[in-house]
Amino acid sequence: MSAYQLYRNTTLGQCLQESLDELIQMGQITPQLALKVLLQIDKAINNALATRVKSRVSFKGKLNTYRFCDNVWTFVLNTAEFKDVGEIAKVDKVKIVACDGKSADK
Amino acid sequence: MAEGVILQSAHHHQPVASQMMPLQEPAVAEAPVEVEVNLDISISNVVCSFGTKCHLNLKKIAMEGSNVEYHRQHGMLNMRIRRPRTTASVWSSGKITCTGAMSEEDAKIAARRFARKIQKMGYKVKFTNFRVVNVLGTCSLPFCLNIDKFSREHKEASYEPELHPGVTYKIKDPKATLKIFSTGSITVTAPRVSNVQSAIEYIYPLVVDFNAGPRPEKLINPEQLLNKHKRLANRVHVSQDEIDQYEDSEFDSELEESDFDSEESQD
Repeated sequence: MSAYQLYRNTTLGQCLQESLDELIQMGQITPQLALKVLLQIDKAINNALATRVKSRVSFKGKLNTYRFCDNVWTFVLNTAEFKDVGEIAKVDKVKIVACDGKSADK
Repeated sequence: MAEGVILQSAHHHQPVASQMMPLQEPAVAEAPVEVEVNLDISISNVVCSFGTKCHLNLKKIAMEGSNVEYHRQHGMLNMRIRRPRTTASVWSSGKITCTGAMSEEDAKIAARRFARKIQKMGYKVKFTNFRVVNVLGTCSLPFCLNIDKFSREHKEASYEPELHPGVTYKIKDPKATLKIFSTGSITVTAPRVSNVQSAIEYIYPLVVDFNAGPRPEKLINPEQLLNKHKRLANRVHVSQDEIDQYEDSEFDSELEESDFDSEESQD
């Protein structure tokens, strides 16, 4: 039973990894425990996004490049516009990494 | 239907009397009238293939390249370039099939661009064995056809209305397969662009006997017209006739050079 490790490279994930590294440096936890924590957070984030999130964001932009390998889509969009209810975010360049939602963790 | 290259129109003249007249305007009063028919044949797809003579690591190309899709189940990689707008299917053996080009020259240019793309990733690519596999052209006659009668008169025609609404007509010389529809549209698949032209010229006199009245006026879809201009803009090699063809209709000024592929990496 393994969840996507996709979310380790998010702001939240990076902060967690840095904190865990600090604790390992100070000798307060073992590297094994840090690994277990990361696996747990993978499961938790995947689960939460799948069940507890109802909002939708739509985005539109010009496709610069695309890639599809190992069931993972990577897009680079130029001049993209992200629309949420009442909020619009405009950006010049965005990289989107997308994993298949249906064939994820059972 | 996408309009691509417009071939030099096929000229057909139907001599009413046995006198041979020059192909000029049939406005000469005293001599028998010769009807000159201009048919626009548009080439919509040219498929070609070539080899690179070296083994390709598809996984690596998928990870490093841009605009690629790797399908592990089929052992094949799809790669696209914007100008000319084509798609290549790449196999690990080094065989590459390039589709979507609008003319034979464009197909060769596209094939070389793909080879160059792969070469830039570090493979020793040799551009070997380039051949055009298939050319698809379409032609629309100004009148409808009675294909039922046509298929009964001609033994080389195969017509199965329950399977396909068109008559399949295969000719050996020039080698081509034609699909003839009751609306007056004809599609031709042949190994060469010149074969497409000769095939239409061959079939025209056979088909004109089964004329079933003029076809209804086609309403011009503005979106279709825009697509036509975009497709022209996506071509690399455009002959002067084609430019003249599109001269009267407005060219979409929004399509700038910057929209299209440059030789630089897009990552």
